[in-house]
Amino acid sequence: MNWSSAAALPALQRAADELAPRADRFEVFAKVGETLHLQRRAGEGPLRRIAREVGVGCRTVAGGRVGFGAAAGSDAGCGRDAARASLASLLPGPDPLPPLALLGTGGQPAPPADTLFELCEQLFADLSHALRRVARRLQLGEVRLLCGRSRASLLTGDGFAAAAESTACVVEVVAAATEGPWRFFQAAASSPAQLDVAGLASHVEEVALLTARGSPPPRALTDVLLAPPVAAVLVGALAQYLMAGRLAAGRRTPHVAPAWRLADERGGPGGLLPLPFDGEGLPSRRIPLLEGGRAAGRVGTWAEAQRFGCPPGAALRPSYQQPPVAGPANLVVSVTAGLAGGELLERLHHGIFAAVPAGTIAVDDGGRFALPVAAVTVRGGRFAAAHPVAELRGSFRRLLAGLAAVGADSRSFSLACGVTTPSLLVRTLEVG
Amino acid sequence: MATGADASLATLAAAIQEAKPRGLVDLYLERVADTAWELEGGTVVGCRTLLREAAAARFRGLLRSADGITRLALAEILGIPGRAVPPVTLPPFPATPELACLSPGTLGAVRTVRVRSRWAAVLARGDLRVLGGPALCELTLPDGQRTLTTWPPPADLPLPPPPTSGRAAPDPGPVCCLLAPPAAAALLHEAVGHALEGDTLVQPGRRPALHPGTPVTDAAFDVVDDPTRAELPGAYWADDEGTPAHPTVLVRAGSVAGLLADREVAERCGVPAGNARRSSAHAWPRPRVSNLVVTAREAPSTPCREGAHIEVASVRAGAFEPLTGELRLLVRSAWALRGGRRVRPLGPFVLAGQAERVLAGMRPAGPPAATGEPGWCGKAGDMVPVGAVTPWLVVSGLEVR
Repeated sequence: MNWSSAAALPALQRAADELAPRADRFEVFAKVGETLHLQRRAGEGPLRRIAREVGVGCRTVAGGRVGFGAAAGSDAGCGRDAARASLASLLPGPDPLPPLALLGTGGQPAPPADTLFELCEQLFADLSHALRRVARRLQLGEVRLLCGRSRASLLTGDGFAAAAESTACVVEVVAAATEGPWRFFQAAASSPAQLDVAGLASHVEEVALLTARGSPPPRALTDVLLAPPVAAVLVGALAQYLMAGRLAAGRRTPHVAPAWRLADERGGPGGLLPLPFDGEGLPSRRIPLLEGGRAAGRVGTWAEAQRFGCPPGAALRPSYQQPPVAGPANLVVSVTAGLAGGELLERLHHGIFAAVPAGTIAVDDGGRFALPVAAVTVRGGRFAAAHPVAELRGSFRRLLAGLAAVGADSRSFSLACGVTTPSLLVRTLEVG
Repeated sequence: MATGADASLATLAAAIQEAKPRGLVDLYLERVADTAWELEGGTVVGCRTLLREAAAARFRGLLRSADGITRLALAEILGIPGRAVPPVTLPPFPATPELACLSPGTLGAVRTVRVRSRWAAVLARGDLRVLGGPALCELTLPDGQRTLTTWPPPADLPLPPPPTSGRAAPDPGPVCCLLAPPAAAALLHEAVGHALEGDTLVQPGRRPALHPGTPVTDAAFDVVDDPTRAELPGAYWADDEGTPAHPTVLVRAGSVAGLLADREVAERCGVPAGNARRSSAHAWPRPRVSNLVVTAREAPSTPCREGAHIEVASVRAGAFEPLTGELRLLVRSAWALRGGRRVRPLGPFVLAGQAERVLAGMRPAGPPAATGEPGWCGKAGDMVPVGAVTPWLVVSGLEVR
């Protein structure tokens, strides 16, 4: 089966046929996803993984009861199993399906190339070559490339049908200076052609060497310049927090610096993962999260919108296996007057430049975060001392209030969702 | 008596052996039934069921996998003509489990119940081995904390304590902690379990360098990875490469005594295989922890709070960074201690430290208990169920951040 013929139409059709006579309303969602994962560890041969994940999920409403069932596969039997599992799980509950009048699509992105995997194989070879060029000064631990394409189809008993395709490509490098700690680097794009592997190799070399030796900085409240890989982690965690309505639930209205312009650009064209409709068929729209000095409250699925009175349109459907859940999909920090790197350093003047994450972020229920980073102390706008590991700490409230400037160096990352962000200059974070 | 599925699988094994897919290492087949209920005040308000089946063909350096176990899908991943693959009949998905297995008290205290049954088989070198393990039950508390047990659950199923709601976190800096078994399980899972997974161990540049005989902790401790403990969630009867399950001594009398190995690591390091696990058919099998069973000589029969500054009852998550050797625990439920007594609840905070220093500063402080935490263990995105039996511990070498 080649990609152009890959679909789960028999499963989709059979599920609809099973449900039509038994349900008051229903929705059938099918997704076919293919991924290519290339990996090479130091001293080992290359590993290649090719996976096809396909299946159908059904949401059913019948006689005041609702249910969800899903089954893997693309044939009619899988559609039948999913429909029957959905009918077998019916329980009293409110209708979670959006009305037909609200369904639609926001336009279809260009279909992915059938040669995507071949292009990625070439990209992996180019990346390996570019990294070998800097290998005399670095140790390369591991190089990975993950590219995927998916085709999602949605069909409802009310008569709505839509399909969407998307692609993404992610490269990851684990590398270290000869005497330094290992670092993890990532770059992501919608297609392999958008990835600059030579630029990534230079970035890997520069950051690994810059932060190879030193000691942690003294504990202090200081201004911090977050490079895009660090900013992306914080922006991703912040957006999750905002969209779950947890900041709005606080007692105090947060102060949001006017420099913040963060939105879930679900329909694109910017960002990593634009799609024409959300996980339950609402046309994709831009969801502003931080704009004009204000923070958005909760955004949800249609069912959550009915229950909590929040706007709908934030449904995600990463897989056919689960019903839609709310969350960010395609985060973009917009840049209107981005500063060049040198200008940002001058604006920082004294503080910390956080170059790359050095561990995983921890966020507590109160919105306090801790993120290990590789960093450099900046004095008078110049690099003064390296810190192989420093820890950024603070609250999301402080992050919202402290953004002073943004860079002109936007890059995309594949985290829990797509995140595209430039460097961010934040006043007074805790560093130690 | 052989079932239709047994006969079908035997026919499939024979057909694949005849077709001789070039370079095939093994073929993995999996069926998972996963049912989840949402509850409000003990009443079921939602239900969903997932029936998943997939197959993976592993070659040297290549894994091809596909959802849906059909002749065409098998032929495609094996790289052989469709006509060479016979029709396949797999064991049926199990019937939907009965929630009545859980007590009303438990149902009233949780937000979701999820029951997962898995059937899997591995075909390698003409031999087909059906793997096995207990069905699992995941309970989610109102604050999102999850705990894992086997299904049907034991009558005296303990639930994690509620999160403490103190407004103040402890002051940043070094601290002496008393860890209850769920928190101790998370720490040991990160600091010993992950640290002795063979693929991590051979990773270039990882630290600390652990070799057999290296002292890592107090001589009172033995640590065994034991997938044969059927009452714990990490149990299996054969690993995901088909090697029969066996206990692996990781630490004996405080020193490294073994490591967790799949066949590749076993060949490379000269140790027994039997610890390969996959999160799904779409993931490579890798050495992973199953059930970490920790025994301590001379552990007190009741928890000893004297000398500790903080008592940690439960953690929300743990992480181990193999490249830096740092471990972190996100504390969910804890109290400040003074003079061996709890004086106030603490708000959430992070405990962190270098694994080698934390293990070196660890002493038994109370009796052992089985725990449903850490529950699901993630490694590079691959989730597998794990269990633990561990005593209370008192630990220096951690600091509050």
